[in-house]
Amino acid sequence: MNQDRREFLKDAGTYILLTGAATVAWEYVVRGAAEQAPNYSATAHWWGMTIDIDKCIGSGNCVRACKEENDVPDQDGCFRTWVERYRIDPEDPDHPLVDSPDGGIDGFEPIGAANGTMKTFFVPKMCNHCVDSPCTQVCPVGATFHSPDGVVLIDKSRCLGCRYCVQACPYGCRYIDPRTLTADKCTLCYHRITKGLTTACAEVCPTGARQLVDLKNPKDPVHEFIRTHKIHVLKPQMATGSKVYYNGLDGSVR
Amino acid sequence: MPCNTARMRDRFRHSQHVLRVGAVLLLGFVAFLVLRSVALPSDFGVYGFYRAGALDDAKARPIAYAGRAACEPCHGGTYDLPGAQTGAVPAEADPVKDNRHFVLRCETCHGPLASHVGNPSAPVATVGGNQLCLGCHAQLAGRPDTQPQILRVDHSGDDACVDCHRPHRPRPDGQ
Repeated sequence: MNQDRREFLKDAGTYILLTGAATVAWEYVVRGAAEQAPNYSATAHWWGMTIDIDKCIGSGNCVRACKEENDVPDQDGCFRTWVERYRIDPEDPDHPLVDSPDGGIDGFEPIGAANGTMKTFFVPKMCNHCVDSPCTQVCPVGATFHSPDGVVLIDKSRCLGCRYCVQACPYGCRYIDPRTLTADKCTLCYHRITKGLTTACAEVCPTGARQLVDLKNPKDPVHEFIRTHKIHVLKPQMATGSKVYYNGLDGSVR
Repeated sequence: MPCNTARMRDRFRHSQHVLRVGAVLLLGFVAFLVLRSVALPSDFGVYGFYRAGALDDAKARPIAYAGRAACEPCHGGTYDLPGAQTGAVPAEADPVKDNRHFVLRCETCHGPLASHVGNPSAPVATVGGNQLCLGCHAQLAGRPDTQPQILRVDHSGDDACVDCHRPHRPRPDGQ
């Protein structure tokens, strides 16, 4: 046995550490699957949303309702949902003009004749509740996570306010709550959807542009909607597995 | 044989060092486990790398918007008529389902009313005036053509929207 001291120490240390890691993992194994916990049957749902650009009139009702329902602070940049207005010169589609005054909470100023031939439409945005969300992967303390029913949530009691997740989200959907200095974001109105209600934004949308959908419910109209419409998600190249499906989304939307 | 014995002695000459390092590593690991069990909430890891109670925390938030279904047991069919609630005016059979605003939910215009559900004495905010209508119906670039839009100066000047339009049956022909 020609093993020098350095190697022996390395091996011994590895064995000790690995045994310890297995002990920690076993703790999770014996606790059992999510389904065994007494709870709202989270595994029976898989929540998402559809947004129909062709129906959005930029009224800002969703932004106001979200602030009201979820006590979102009024400070700049604190939005769980907001509406952007895109204006695109048909000659130069790579450089859209985007405005979103106060997230569209009070609607939009008319542009009138100055708009010319610009292609103009509204894009409501919110957390995409991604299946492979970059924001949950970077959290060092397990304060943000996927719920078993596909909603990305934040545990404010564990959040350190390190802001990694704010930087990681490719859609800019997270903010730091100035009152608690912890990260915050759209919960897809988790307190409502687990009681059989729709989200506040979908509830007040005057044209039905937003619809809460349950992708695990075979009777949900979303399946028909996705089959019969030209559906797109934001930034598909990021491979986030977004569950907010847009109908009529222009390719120049970022 | 003497040669072998010397080799054996050589081999175990440093065993004390190994045991000491091993003991330190073990002690460190035990300390890690103890600290971990103290620092982590007991329900951490039930569903995944997070605190299971956070799901209940998210659910516990009170609701502000009750949803249309909560309004209809009391107001379905009669809400459009002043006095219908008190019986002063006979209620129409179903005056609302055939008009253009039927697609709206009550709280789109009336605001969040969960506090009013089940407690009729709870205050109900007055519905806003022209600005509420114009929020959806002012002419605005980007609005789809299917949305009825007006330029207020051309359409009605300074008149109030409700002078001509009843919000629950918005079209002048009653639709």
